[in-house]
Amino acid sequence: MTVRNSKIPKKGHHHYKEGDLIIKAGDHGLFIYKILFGKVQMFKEVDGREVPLATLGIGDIIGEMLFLKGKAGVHAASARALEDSEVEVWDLGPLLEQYAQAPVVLKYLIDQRLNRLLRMNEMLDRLTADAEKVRAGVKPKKQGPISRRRYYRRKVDLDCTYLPIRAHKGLPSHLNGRIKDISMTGLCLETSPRNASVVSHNVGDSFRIETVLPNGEKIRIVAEIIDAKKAWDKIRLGMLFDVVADYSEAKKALGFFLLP
Amino acid sequence: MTIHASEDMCVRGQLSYPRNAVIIEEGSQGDAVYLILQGHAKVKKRTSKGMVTIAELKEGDIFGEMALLGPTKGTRSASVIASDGPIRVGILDKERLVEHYEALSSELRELITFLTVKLQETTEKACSMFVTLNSE
Repeated sequence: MTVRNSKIPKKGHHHYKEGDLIIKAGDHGLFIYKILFGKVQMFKEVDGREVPLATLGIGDIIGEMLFLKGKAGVHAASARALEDSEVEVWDLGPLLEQYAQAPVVLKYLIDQRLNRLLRMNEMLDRLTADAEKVRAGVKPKKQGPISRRRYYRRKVDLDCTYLPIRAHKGLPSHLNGRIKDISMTGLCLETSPRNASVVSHNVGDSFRIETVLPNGEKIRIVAEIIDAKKAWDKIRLGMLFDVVADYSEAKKALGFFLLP
Repeated sequence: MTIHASEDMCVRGQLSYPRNAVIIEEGSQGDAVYLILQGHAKVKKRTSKGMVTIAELKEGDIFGEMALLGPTKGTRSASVIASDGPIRVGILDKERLVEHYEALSSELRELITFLTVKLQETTEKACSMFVTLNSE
Protein backbone atom coordinates (compact mmCIF):
# COMPACT_ATOMS: atom_id res chain seq x y z
CA MET A 1 0.00 0.00 0.00
CA THR A 2 1.23 3.47 -0.78
CA VAL A 3 1.53 5.81 2.16
CA ARG A 4 0.97 9.43 1.20
CA ASN A 5 3.88 11.48 2.44
CA SER A 6 3.36 14.74 4.25
CA LYS A 7 4.49 18.01 2.72
CA ILE A 8 8.06 19.02 3.38
CA PRO A 9 8.04 21.84 5.94
CA LYS A 10 9.29 24.98 4.23
CA LYS A 11 11.88 27.15 5.86
CA GLY A 12 10.46 30.23 4.21
CA HIS A 13 11.28 32.56 1.34
CA HIS A 14 14.44 34.54 0.84
CA HIS A 15 14.74 37.66 -1.25
CA TYR A 16 18.01 38.58 -2.97
CA LYS A 17 18.98 41.79 -4.69
CA GLU A 18 20.90 41.83 -7.97
CA GLY A 19 24.50 40.78 -7.27
CA ASP A 20 23.75 39.07 -3.92
CA LEU A 21 25.45 35.75 -3.30
CA ILE A 22 22.91 32.97 -2.58
CA ILE A 23 25.35 30.12 -2.03
CA LYS A 24 29.13 30.04 -2.09
CA ALA A 25 31.23 27.12 -3.30
CA GLY A 26 32.93 25.46 -0.35
CA ASP A 27 30.27 26.53 2.17
CA HIS A 28 28.40 23.84 4.03
CA GLY A 29 24.90 23.42 2.62
CA LEU A 30 21.80 22.22 4.48
CA PHE A 31 19.14 23.67 2.19
CA ILE A 32 17.90 23.44 -1.37
CA TYR A 33 16.43 26.49 -3.07
CA LYS A 34 13.71 26.79 -5.68
CA ILE A 35 13.66 30.00 -7.69
CA LEU A 36 10.25 31.66 -7.48
CA PHE A 37 11.21 34.65 -9.59
CA GLY A 38 14.35 36.26 -10.94
CA LYS A 39 17.50 34.90 -12.55
CA VAL A 40 20.46 33.24 -10.90
CA GLN A 41 23.96 32.67 -12.25
CA MET A 42 25.77 29.48 -11.23
CA PHE A 43 29.54 29.81 -11.40
CA LYS A 44 32.85 28.38 -10.25
CA GLU A 45 35.97 30.29 -9.36
CA VAL A 46 39.04 29.18 -11.31
CA ASP A 47 42.31 30.98 -10.62
CA GLY A 48 40.41 33.88 -9.08
CA ARG A 49 38.22 34.19 -12.18
CA GLU A 50 34.48 33.50 -12.20
CA VAL A 51 33.59 30.84 -14.74
CA PRO A 52 29.83 30.82 -15.48
CA LEU A 53 28.23 27.37 -15.48
CA ALA A 54 24.54 28.04 -16.06
CA THR A 55 21.85 30.65 -15.77
CA LEU A 56 18.81 29.49 -13.86
CA GLY A 57 15.30 30.92 -13.84
CA ILE A 58 11.84 30.42 -12.41
CA GLY A 59 11.21 26.86 -11.23
CA ASP A 60 14.87 25.86 -11.34
CA ILE A 61 16.55 24.44 -8.27
CA ILE A 62 19.83 25.37 -6.59
CA GLY A 63 21.86 23.08 -4.34
CA GLU A 64 20.35 19.91 -5.84
CA MET A 65 23.75 18.22 -5.82
CA LEU A 66 23.41 17.80 -2.05
CA PHE A 67 20.35 15.63 -2.66
CA LEU A 68 22.20 13.76 -5.38
CA LYS A 69 24.98 12.96 -2.94
CA GLY A 70 22.42 12.00 -0.34
CA LYS A 71 23.78 14.12 2.49
CA ALA A 72 24.55 17.63 3.62
CA GLY A 73 27.94 18.76 2.42
CA VAL A 74 29.83 21.56 0.77
CA HIS A 75 28.49 23.30 -2.31
CA ALA A 76 30.53 22.62 -5.44
CA ALA A 77 29.49 25.88 -7.15
CA SER A 78 28.37 29.37 -6.19
CA ALA A 79 25.09 31.08 -7.09
CA ARG A 80 24.52 34.80 -7.49
CA ALA A 81 21.31 36.70 -8.19
CA LEU A 82 21.52 38.26 -11.66
CA GLU A 83 18.47 40.35 -10.87
CA ASP A 84 16.14 40.76 -7.91
CA SER A 85 15.16 37.19 -7.11
CA GLU A 86 13.12 35.24 -4.63
CA VAL A 87 13.72 31.64 -3.61
CA GLU A 88 11.79 29.11 -1.59
CA VAL A 89 13.99 27.30 0.92
CA TRP A 90 13.63 23.55 1.45
CA ASP A 91 15.26 21.69 4.29
CA LEU A 92 17.48 18.91 2.94
CA GLY A 93 16.99 16.62 5.98
CA PRO A 94 13.23 15.97 5.60
CA LEU A 95 13.62 15.60 1.82
CA LEU A 96 16.23 12.87 2.30
CA GLU A 97 14.16 11.24 5.04
CA GLN A 98 11.10 11.12 2.83
CA TYR A 99 13.12 9.73 -0.04
CA ALA A 100 14.57 7.01 2.20
CA GLN A 101 11.02 5.90 3.04
CA ALA A 102 9.84 5.75 -0.57
CA PRO A 103 8.73 2.32 -1.87
CA VAL A 104 11.58 0.01 -2.89
CA VAL A 105 10.77 0.03 -6.62
CA LEU A 106 10.57 3.81 -6.82
CA LYS A 107 13.78 4.34 -4.88
CA TYR A 108 15.56 1.71 -6.98
CA LEU A 109 14.41 3.43 -10.18
CA ILE A 110 15.27 6.96 -9.04
CA ASP A 111 18.63 5.89 -7.57
CA GLN A 112 19.61 4.55 -11.00
CA ARG A 113 18.63 7.85 -12.59
CA LEU A 114 20.63 9.84 -10.06
CA ASN A 115 23.66 7.61 -10.56
CA ARG A 116 23.38 8.11 -14.33
CA LEU A 117 23.36 11.86 -13.79
CA LEU A 118 26.50 11.63 -11.65
CA ARG A 119 28.22 9.50 -14.31
CA MET A 120 27.07 11.84 -17.07
CA ASN A 121 28.41 14.84 -15.13
CA GLU A 122 31.79 13.10 -14.84
CA MET A 123 31.75 12.32 -18.56
CA LEU A 124 30.92 15.91 -19.40
CA ASP A 125 33.80 17.10 -17.19
CA ARG A 126 36.18 14.75 -19.05
CA LEU A 127 34.91 15.85 -22.47
CA THR A 128 35.19 19.51 -21.45
CA ALA A 129 38.79 18.90 -20.37
CA ASP A 130 39.44 17.17 -23.74
CA ALA A 131 37.89 20.12 -25.60
CA GLU A 132 40.17 22.47 -23.64
CA LYS A 133 43.17 20.36 -24.68
CA VAL A 134 42.07 20.49 -28.31
CA ARG A 135 41.77 24.27 -28.09
CA ALA A 136 45.26 24.36 -26.55
CA GLY A 137 46.62 22.22 -29.40
CA VAL A 138 47.12 19.03 -27.36
CA LYS A 139 45.64 15.83 -28.67
CA PRO A 140 43.39 14.46 -25.91
CA LYS A 141 43.77 10.91 -24.78
CA LYS A 142 40.81 8.96 -26.12
CA GLN A 143 38.66 7.61 -23.36
CA GLY A 144 35.21 7.77 -21.85
CA PRO A 145 32.15 5.66 -21.31
CA ILE A 146 30.70 6.64 -24.67
CA SER A 147 31.58 3.76 -26.94
CA ARG A 148 33.91 4.93 -29.67
CA ARG A 149 34.02 1.51 -31.21
CA ARG A 150 31.64 2.54 -33.92
CA TYR A 151 33.44 0.69 -36.69
CA TYR A 152 32.85 -2.82 -37.91
CA ARG A 153 33.77 -5.42 -35.31
CA ARG A 154 34.77 -8.97 -36.14
CA LYS A 155 34.06 -11.81 -33.77
CA VAL A 156 37.26 -13.74 -33.06
CA ASP A 157 38.59 -16.09 -30.42
CA LEU A 158 42.29 -15.34 -30.19
CA ASP A 159 44.84 -16.18 -27.52
CA CYS A 160 46.69 -13.11 -26.40
CA THR A 161 49.21 -12.03 -23.82
CA TYR A 162 49.09 -8.69 -22.11
CA LEU A 163 50.74 -6.58 -19.45
CA PRO A 164 50.01 -3.21 -17.88
CA ILE A 165 51.94 -0.43 -19.55
CA ARG A 166 53.12 0.79 -16.17
CA ALA A 167 55.63 -1.76 -14.87
CA HIS A 168 55.80 -2.37 -11.14
CA LYS A 169 57.37 -4.83 -8.75
CA GLY A 170 55.96 -8.33 -8.58
CA LEU A 171 54.51 -8.19 -12.07
CA PRO A 172 54.36 -11.57 -13.87
CA SER A 173 56.13 -11.90 -17.24
CA HIS A 174 52.74 -11.78 -18.93
CA LEU A 175 49.03 -12.41 -18.39
CA ASN A 176 46.91 -14.57 -20.67
CA GLY A 177 43.55 -13.63 -22.10
CA ARG A 178 41.33 -14.16 -25.11
CA ILE A 179 40.26 -11.53 -27.60
CA LYS A 180 36.57 -12.07 -28.37
CA ASP A 181 36.08 -9.35 -30.97
CA ILE A 182 38.20 -6.72 -32.62
CA SER A 183 37.72 -3.59 -34.70
CA MET A 184 39.90 -0.77 -36.01
CA THR A 185 39.41 1.13 -32.78
CA GLY A 186 39.24 -1.42 -30.00
CA LEU A 187 38.68 -4.94 -28.85
CA CYS A 188 36.92 -7.06 -26.27
CA LEU A 189 39.27 -9.01 -24.05
CA GLU A 190 38.11 -11.85 -21.83
CA THR A 191 40.31 -12.79 -18.94
CA SER A 192 40.32 -14.69 -15.67
CA PRO A 193 39.48 -12.99 -12.35
CA ARG A 194 42.78 -14.52 -11.12
CA ASN A 195 44.61 -11.99 -13.30
CA ALA A 196 42.67 -9.17 -11.67
CA SER A 197 43.97 -10.27 -8.28
CA VAL A 198 47.54 -9.70 -9.55
CA VAL A 199 47.04 -6.56 -11.64
CA SER A 200 44.34 -3.87 -11.55
CA HIS A 201 41.76 -4.31 -14.35
CA ASN A 202 39.71 -1.17 -13.90
CA VAL A 203 38.34 1.43 -16.30
CA GLY A 204 41.21 3.72 -17.26
CA ASP A 205 43.96 1.05 -16.93
CA SER A 206 46.06 0.55 -20.08
CA PHE A 207 47.68 -2.64 -21.31
CA ARG A 208 50.14 -3.64 -24.00
CA ILE A 209 48.52 -6.56 -25.82
CA GLU A 210 50.09 -9.07 -28.20
CA THR A 211 48.25 -11.51 -30.39
CA VAL A 212 48.45 -13.30 -33.71
CA LEU A 213 45.56 -12.64 -36.10
CA PRO A 214 44.02 -15.61 -37.93
CA ASN A 215 45.86 -14.46 -41.08
CA GLY A 216 49.19 -15.03 -39.27
CA GLU A 217 49.99 -11.35 -38.65
CA LYS A 218 51.38 -10.66 -35.22
CA ILE A 219 50.22 -7.40 -33.69
CA ARG A 220 51.22 -5.42 -30.60
CA ILE A 221 48.88 -2.75 -29.44
CA VAL A 222 48.21 -0.51 -26.45
CA ALA A 223 44.61 -0.31 -25.32
CA GLU A 224 42.74 1.23 -22.44
CA ILE A 225 39.82 -0.26 -20.55
CA ILE A 226 36.64 1.74 -21.12
CA ASP A 227 34.24 -0.85 -19.77
CA ALA A 228 34.73 -3.79 -17.38
CA LYS A 229 32.10 -6.44 -16.76
CA LYS A 230 33.21 -8.64 -13.89
CA ALA A 231 31.62 -12.02 -13.17
CA TRP A 232 32.81 -14.72 -10.78
CA ASP A 233 34.32 -16.82 -13.57
CA LYS A 234 35.47 -14.23 -16.12
CA ILE A 235 36.08 -10.57 -16.78
CA ARG A 236 35.09 -8.96 -20.08
CA LEU A 237 36.94 -5.79 -20.90
CA GLY A 238 35.84 -3.32 -23.54
CA MET A 239 39.08 -1.68 -24.67
CA LEU A 240 39.93 1.26 -26.85
CA PHE A 241 43.21 1.48 -28.75
CA ASP A 242 45.54 4.23 -27.64
CA VAL A 243 46.06 6.20 -30.81
CA VAL A 244 48.85 8.16 -29.14
CA ALA A 245 50.93 4.99 -28.96
CA ASP A 246 52.56 4.01 -32.25
CA TYR A 247 50.33 1.37 -33.73
CA SER A 248 50.56 2.13 -37.42
CA GLU A 249 51.89 -1.39 -38.25
CA ALA A 250 49.20 -3.03 -36.19
CA LYS A 251 46.59 -0.79 -37.79
CA LYS A 252 47.73 -1.85 -41.25
CA ALA A 253 47.58 -5.55 -40.32
CA LEU A 254 44.18 -5.07 -38.70
CA GLY A 255 42.89 -3.20 -41.73
CA PHE A 256 43.72 -6.14 -43.99
CA PHE A 257 42.24 -8.62 -41.57
CA LEU A 258 39.01 -6.65 -41.22
CA LEU A 259 38.51 -6.19 -44.94
CA PRO A 260 35.08 -7.63 -45.80
CA MET B 1 17.69 -12.62 -3.62
CA THR B 2 18.73 -9.34 -5.23
CA ILE B 3 16.37 -6.37 -5.01
CA HIS B 4 15.62 -6.33 -8.70
CA ALA B 5 14.44 -9.95 -8.57
CA SER B 6 12.13 -9.36 -5.62
CA GLU B 7 8.33 -8.92 -5.73
CA ASP B 8 8.79 -5.31 -4.61
CA MET B 9 9.79 -4.47 -8.17
CA CYS B 10 6.16 -4.81 -9.39
CA VAL B 11 7.00 -6.74 -12.57
CA ARG B 12 3.70 -7.48 -14.32
CA GLY B 13 4.91 -9.12 -17.51
CA GLN B 14 7.98 -10.25 -19.40
CA LEU B 15 9.22 -9.86 -22.95
CA SER B 16 12.17 -11.35 -24.82
CA TYR B 17 14.08 -9.78 -27.70
CA PRO B 18 16.77 -11.20 -29.99
CA ARG B 19 20.20 -9.61 -30.32
CA ASN B 20 20.17 -6.14 -31.94
CA ALA B 21 16.40 -5.77 -31.51
CA VAL B 22 15.22 -2.24 -30.91
CA ILE B 23 13.27 -2.26 -27.65
CA ILE B 24 12.71 1.49 -27.53
CA GLU B 25 13.16 3.88 -30.43
CA GLU B 26 14.20 7.49 -29.85
CA GLY B 27 11.38 9.91 -30.65
CA SER B 28 8.66 7.26 -30.56
CA GLN B 29 5.77 7.32 -28.13
CA GLY B 30 5.57 4.87 -25.26
CA ASP B 31 5.10 4.73 -21.55
CA ALA B 32 6.31 1.29 -20.49
CA VAL B 33 9.09 1.10 -17.92
CA TYR B 34 11.39 -1.92 -18.26
CA LEU B 35 13.68 -3.86 -15.96
CA ILE B 36 16.42 -6.04 -17.46
CA LEU B 37 16.00 -9.55 -16.09
CA GLN B 38 18.65 -11.13 -18.28
CA GLY B 39 21.07 -9.84 -20.89
CA HIS B 40 22.52 -6.51 -21.93
CA ALA B 41 21.37 -3.46 -23.85
CA LYS B 42 22.80 -0.24 -25.17
CA VAL B 43 21.29 3.20 -24.88
CA LYS B 44 21.91 5.16 -28.07
CA LYS B 45 21.20 8.68 -29.19
CA ARG B 46 21.03 10.06 -32.70
CA THR B 47 23.63 12.71 -33.52
CA SER B 48 24.71 14.44 -36.71
CA LYS B 49 27.52 11.86 -36.96
CA GLY B 50 25.34 8.82 -36.43
CA MET B 51 24.33 6.92 -33.33
CA VAL B 52 26.35 7.39 -30.16
CA THR B 53 26.19 4.89 -27.31
CA ILE B 54 25.60 6.82 -24.11
CA ALA B 55 25.18 3.93 -21.70
CA GLU B 56 25.40 0.18 -21.46
CA LEU B 57 22.77 -1.58 -19.40
CA LYS B 58 22.92 -4.91 -17.64
CA GLU B 59 20.73 -7.19 -15.55
CA GLY B 60 18.93 -5.19 -12.87
CA ASP B 61 19.03 -1.91 -14.79
CA ILE B 62 15.82 0.00 -15.46
CA PHE B 63 15.07 1.93 -18.64
CA GLY B 64 12.17 3.84 -20.11
CA GLU B 65 11.60 5.56 -16.77
CA MET B 66 11.63 9.00 -18.40
CA ALA B 67 8.04 8.17 -19.30
CA LEU B 68 7.35 8.42 -15.60
CA LEU B 69 9.82 11.02 -14.36
CA GLY B 70 10.57 13.22 -17.33
CA PRO B 71 8.82 16.40 -18.41
CA THR B 72 8.25 15.05 -21.95
CA LYS B 73 6.08 12.19 -20.81
CA GLY B 74 5.52 9.60 -23.49
CA THR B 75 8.25 10.63 -25.95
CA ARG B 76 11.31 8.41 -25.81
CA SER B 77 14.53 10.41 -25.43
CA ALA B 78 16.91 7.65 -26.59
CA SER B 79 16.90 4.26 -28.23
CA VAL B 80 17.53 1.04 -26.31
CA ILE B 81 18.91 -1.89 -28.30
CA ALA B 82 19.55 -5.47 -27.19
CA SER B 83 23.28 -6.17 -27.35
CA ASP B 84 25.55 -9.20 -26.84
CA GLY B 85 22.72 -11.69 -27.41
CA PRO B 86 19.04 -12.04 -26.57
CA ILE B 87 17.54 -10.10 -23.70
CA ARG B 88 14.66 -10.71 -21.30
CA VAL B 89 12.97 -7.71 -19.76
CA GLY B 90 10.26 -7.25 -17.15
CA ILE B 91 7.57 -4.63 -17.62
CA LEU B 92 6.95 -2.71 -14.44
CA ASP B 93 3.46 -1.99 -13.22
CA LYS B 94 3.11 1.62 -14.36
CA GLU B 95 -0.06 2.30 -12.36
CA ARG B 96 1.63 1.33 -9.11
CA LEU B 97 4.74 3.31 -10.00
CA VAL B 98 2.63 6.40 -10.71
CA GLU B 99 0.72 5.86 -7.49
CA HIS B 100 3.98 5.65 -5.52
CA TYR B 101 5.41 8.66 -7.32
CA GLU B 102 2.32 10.82 -6.83
CA ALA B 103 2.46 10.04 -3.13
CA LEU B 104 5.79 11.84 -2.77
CA SER B 105 5.70 15.43 -1.62
CA SER B 106 5.46 18.03 -4.37
CA GLU B 107 8.95 19.28 -3.40
CA LEU B 108 10.50 15.85 -3.86
CA ARG B 109 8.72 15.40 -7.20
CA GLU B 110 9.87 18.81 -8.39
CA LEU B 111 13.42 17.99 -7.35
CA ILE B 112 13.36 14.64 -9.16
CA THR B 113 11.88 16.22 -12.29
CA PHE B 114 14.56 18.92 -12.20
CA LEU B 115 17.31 16.30 -11.87
CA THR B 116 15.77 14.31 -14.73
CA VAL B 117 15.74 17.38 -16.99
CA LYS B 118 19.33 18.05 -15.95
CA LEU B 119 20.28 14.49 -16.92
CA GLN B 120 18.70 15.00 -20.35
CA GLU B 121 20.52 18.29 -20.85
CA THR B 122 23.84 16.87 -19.66
CA THR B 123 23.41 13.90 -22.00
CA GLU B 124 22.63 16.18 -24.97
CA LYS B 125 25.62 18.37 -24.14
CA ALA B 126 27.96 15.37 -23.75
CA CYS B 127 26.75 13.91 -27.09
CA SER B 128 27.27 17.16 -28.96
CA MET B 129 30.71 17.68 -27.38
CA PHE B 130 31.64 14.09 -28.23
CA VAL B 131 30.60 14.62 -31.86
CA THR B 132 32.54 17.90 -32.04
CA LEU B 133 35.68 16.31 -30.59
CA ASN B 134 35.46 13.43 -33.04
CA SER B 135 35.03 15.61 -36.07
CA GLU B 136 38.07 17.77 -35.27
